[in-house]
Amino acid sequence: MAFSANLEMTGSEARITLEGELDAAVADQFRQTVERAAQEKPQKLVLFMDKLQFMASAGLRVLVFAKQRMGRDVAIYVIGATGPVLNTMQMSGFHQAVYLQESYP
Amino acid sequence: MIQHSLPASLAALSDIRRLVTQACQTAGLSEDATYRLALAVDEIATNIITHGYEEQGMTGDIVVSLDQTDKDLTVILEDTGVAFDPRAQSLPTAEDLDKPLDDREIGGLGIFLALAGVDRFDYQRSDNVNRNLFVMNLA
Amino acid sequence: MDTRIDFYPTHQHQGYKLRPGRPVPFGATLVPGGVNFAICSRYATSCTLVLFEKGASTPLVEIPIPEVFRIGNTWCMVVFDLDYERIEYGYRMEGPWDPRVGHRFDSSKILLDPYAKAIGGRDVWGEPPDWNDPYPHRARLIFEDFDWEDDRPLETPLADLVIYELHARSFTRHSSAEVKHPGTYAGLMAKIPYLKELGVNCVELMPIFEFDEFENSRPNPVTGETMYNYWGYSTVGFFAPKAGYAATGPLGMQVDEFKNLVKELHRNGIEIILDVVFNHTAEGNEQGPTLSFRGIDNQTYYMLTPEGYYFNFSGCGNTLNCNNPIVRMMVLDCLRYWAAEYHIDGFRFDLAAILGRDPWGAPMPNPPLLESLAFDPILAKCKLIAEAWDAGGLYQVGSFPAYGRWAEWNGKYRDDIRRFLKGDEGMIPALAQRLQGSPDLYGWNRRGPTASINFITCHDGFTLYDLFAYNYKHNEANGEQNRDGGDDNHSWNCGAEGETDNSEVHALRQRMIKNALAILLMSHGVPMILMGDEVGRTQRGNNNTYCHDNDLNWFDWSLLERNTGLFHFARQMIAFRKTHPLLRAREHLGISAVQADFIWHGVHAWNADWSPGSRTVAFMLRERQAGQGGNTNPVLYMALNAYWDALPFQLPELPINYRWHLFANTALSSPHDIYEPGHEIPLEPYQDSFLVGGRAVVILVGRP
Repeated sequence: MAFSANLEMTGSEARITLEGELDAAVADQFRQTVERAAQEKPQKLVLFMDKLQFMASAGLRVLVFAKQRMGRDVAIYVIGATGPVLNTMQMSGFHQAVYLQESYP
Repeated sequence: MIQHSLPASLAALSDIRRLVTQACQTAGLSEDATYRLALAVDEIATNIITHGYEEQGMTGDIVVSLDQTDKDLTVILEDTGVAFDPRAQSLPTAEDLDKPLDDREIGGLGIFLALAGVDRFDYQRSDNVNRNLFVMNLA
Repeated sequence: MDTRIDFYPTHQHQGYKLRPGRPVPFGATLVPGGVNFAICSRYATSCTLVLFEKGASTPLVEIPIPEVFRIGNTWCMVVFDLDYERIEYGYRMEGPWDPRVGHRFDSSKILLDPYAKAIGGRDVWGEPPDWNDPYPHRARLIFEDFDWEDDRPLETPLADLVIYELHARSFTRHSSAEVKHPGTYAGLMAKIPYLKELGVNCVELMPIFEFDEFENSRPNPVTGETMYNYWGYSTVGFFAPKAGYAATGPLGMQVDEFKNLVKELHRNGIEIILDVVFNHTAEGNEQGPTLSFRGIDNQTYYMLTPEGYYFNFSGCGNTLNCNNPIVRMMVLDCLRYWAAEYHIDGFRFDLAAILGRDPWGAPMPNPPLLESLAFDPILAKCKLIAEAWDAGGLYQVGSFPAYGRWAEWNGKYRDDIRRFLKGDEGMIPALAQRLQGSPDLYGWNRRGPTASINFITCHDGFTLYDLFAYNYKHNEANGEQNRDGGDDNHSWNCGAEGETDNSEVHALRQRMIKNALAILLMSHGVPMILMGDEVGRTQRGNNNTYCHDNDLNWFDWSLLERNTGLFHFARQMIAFRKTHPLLRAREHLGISAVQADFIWHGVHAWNADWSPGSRTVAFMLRERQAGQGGNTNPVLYMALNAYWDALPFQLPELPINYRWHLFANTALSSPHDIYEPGHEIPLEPYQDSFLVGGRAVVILVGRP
C-alpha cells in the first residue's frame, strides 16, 4: 500500500498520521513532514501509527533524529503501533524515548 | 526456485517485499515471521541499492530468488555492486568467508534489525557477485 | 647646519657627490643628505651603481663604485642629493664567465639588489610590462617612517591558534566581494570583520614577497586565457612586498599599505604568518633570466653540480644555497627585517627540507641555517613552520631538525584523516595518533602537539568541497592534459563526479565537510583551514590551480549565502575550540605530567575497536580532577562513525552530577547540527547511549 504522512497542527500539537509502508524509498517524505512539523515549534509530536503496516530502519532513523533534533522539551507520542512495528522500535531502544499509547488522548 | 531480476533503485523495494510476502504466504509462515523476513530482506536490499550501487556512482540489478522446501523458505539476493558483507564492517577477504557468524561484530542499525529476525543468514562473494541468503524455518 | 664629518662628500662622479659608505646594513639606507648603498659579492671584480629615473628606459647615470670604497667583498657608497621618491637603482657586476666553475657574471645585465625593500616593474597586477626593458624589476627607496603606535607582534601561543591559509589576491578579487579595492591588501583589510566572525585568529598569507606573475606565462591552449604565475612561489625580491597586491601599488605605497594591514589585523586579535620561499628564486636554471642573484654571485647563491649546472631540489629550476654563510645571512636578515619592520608573527617555510641540505645537496643533521633561525634573538617569539619535505625526495615529517622551536605541516594528518573519512579500512590506530597531536611523530623528543600543524586541505590539492565531490583530479584547464597535480588525493565523490542534481549526494557532501571540520578542530595540534572551506569553495576538481587568475581561485562571496549552514557550523566549531583549553594541550597527554587524559572508546564504552575492519572510534577528554573537590570543568566526548549506517554508541559514565549535553551532530542538517558553545542541550531521555548516524560525528560536553 502506498505510503502517506499527513500533518495536522492542533494548537501546540503536531499530529502526523502514517499509512502504508515506510521504507528507504519514502523515508525522505516522512522526514520532510517531520521537518514541517518541527518548524511550527510544537510542544508535542503525536504519531498515529495504527495504519502503518511496515517500518524499516530508514523510518526509525527519521524518528530517532527527529527526537535528537527536537530535544527534551518536545514530547513524542507513538499511538497504535502494531506488533512488528513496535518490535522494531523496541529492538533499537527507541521505545524508551517516546510515550507509547494504544489510543490518543 | 523462482527468480526475478529488478533494477537496483529504491522504488524496487516495495516489489521485493511483495515477492517475499507472497512466498511466505504460500509457505504458510506466520504473520510475525513473514514480517521479520520481509524486513530483513528490505534492509539488505536497501544496503545494496544505496551503498552497493548509488554511493559508488554505479547502477545494476538485484536478482531475487525464492525457494521453498518442506523444511524452510529461502530468499537469496544477488548483486554486482561493491563488495559488502553485512556481518562485518570490513570488506571480506577469502579467509573471512568461512568464519562463523558469531565471531563478527554486527554493524549498523538496519543490519541489526535484519539479522536479528531471521533463522539463518549467510553471505558469500564470488566472481564479483554479492550473495545474501536468508532462511526461515517452517514449523 | 652641523653635519657629522662622515656625511660630507669626498668624491664625485658626473656631478654626483659621493663618499665611502658603511658596509652594513646591506641594501639601500637613507642617511643624512643621501643614500648608503651596500652590496656584497665574493667573486665580482668590480661593481657599478646604476641609477634610473622612475620608469625611464635608459639610466640616469652609472657610477662605478671606487675600489677605495670596497671593504672586503662589500662595495658600499653614499650618494648625496638623490630624489628618494623618483629614483630606481641597480648594479652591474664584472667578474669571470666560467659556468663550469659556477661563475656567470654578465656586466651587460642590470641587477636587482637582493636587499631591495620595494621593487618596481609590476606595479599593477597583470599589466603587461615593456618586454624590452633592460631592467625589468627595479629596486626603489623607501621611507621607514610608518606610525605603528602601540602595535607589536601578538605572541599568541601557538597552541591557541586557528590558522586560515589565504591568497592575498584571491580573497577579494571576485566582484562578489564588493570591496573598494579588489584583490589587494586593502581589500583584505575590508574583510577583517568576516575573519573575526568566523573566529580565526591567524592568517597565513601565500607568498607576498615581490614575484613576477608573468614568469612562464602563456596562453591556455584551450581557452586562450592567459595563465600566470598566480600563486607566487617564485621570489624576485625577499625584502619587498608585492606591489601588484597593493591598491596603492601604482603610487609606490605598498610598504605602508601592507604595514597598515598588519596593524589592523593585530588590532583585531589576528596574527599574520608569511609563507616564505627560500628554496629557489625566480631566475630558474641556466636558461632562466638573470635578474639578480645569478649575476651578483652565482656560486654563492645557488646549489651547483660539480659541472656547474643547477641542482633542482625545488622542482622549479634552481635551489637556493641556504647553508652557505652569505645566503644564511641574507635569510636571517630577511626574516629579522619582516619581524622587526613589519611586526610579522611567524613564517611558514615552503619546501623547508631544502633548508637542511648542504651546498652540494646532501641533508645535514645539524643545518646551520635552521639552528641560527631557531636561536635568533629577534625571531625568538616568531612561529616557525616547516613544510617538511622537498621535491628531491627528502621527506622529514617528524624528523625535521627542530631545535625545540619548529612546527611542521603534518602531511600524515592530512592523509590519515582523509582516508578515515572516506571509509578506508584499518585507519583507526592512525586516526587515534592524529587526534592526539601525533605523539608517534612528535612525542619522542618532547616537541609536543604544537609541533603538528594539522590540516586536511591547503592550497596544494583539492579544496574541502572538492575532496568530497571528485574521485579524480580535473586539471585540464592547466593546459598539460591533466598530467600535473597529485594523484593520491584520498578523495571520494560521494556517488557522483562533480556537479550533480542529486540531493542525497549533496547532503552527504555537506555532512562529510562538517565531519572534516569537526575532526580538525577537535584534534590536538594546531589546526589550519584553507580559505573558503568554511563556505564550500570549489575549484571544480582542479587540484593545482597555480596559474589561474579567475574564479577557479577567487573566493566567491555568494557562497556565504548559499552555504550559510556550513559557515555557521565552522564558526561554532572554532568557537568551541577556543572555549575549551582541553583541546589546546601544550603537551602530549599520557607522556607528560599534565593531569588530563585521552580515553578511548568505541561503540562500546571503554573498549575501542582497533581492528582492521573497524570504522568507528570515540574518545573522552577530561581533567583527572574533573568533578572532584571544587573542579566543575567540563568533560568532552567525540564519537566518529565512518561506517555508512547509523550505530549506537554506548556512552561512558561521567562524574557524579555531571550530565551529557549535545554540542554537535553532523547527521542532522543545518542549523540543528550544532549549538553555540555553552548552550548545548542535555541528552534526553537517557545518558548512556547515543545513535550516531552513518558517516557522521557527534560531540558531547559533560558538565554539572
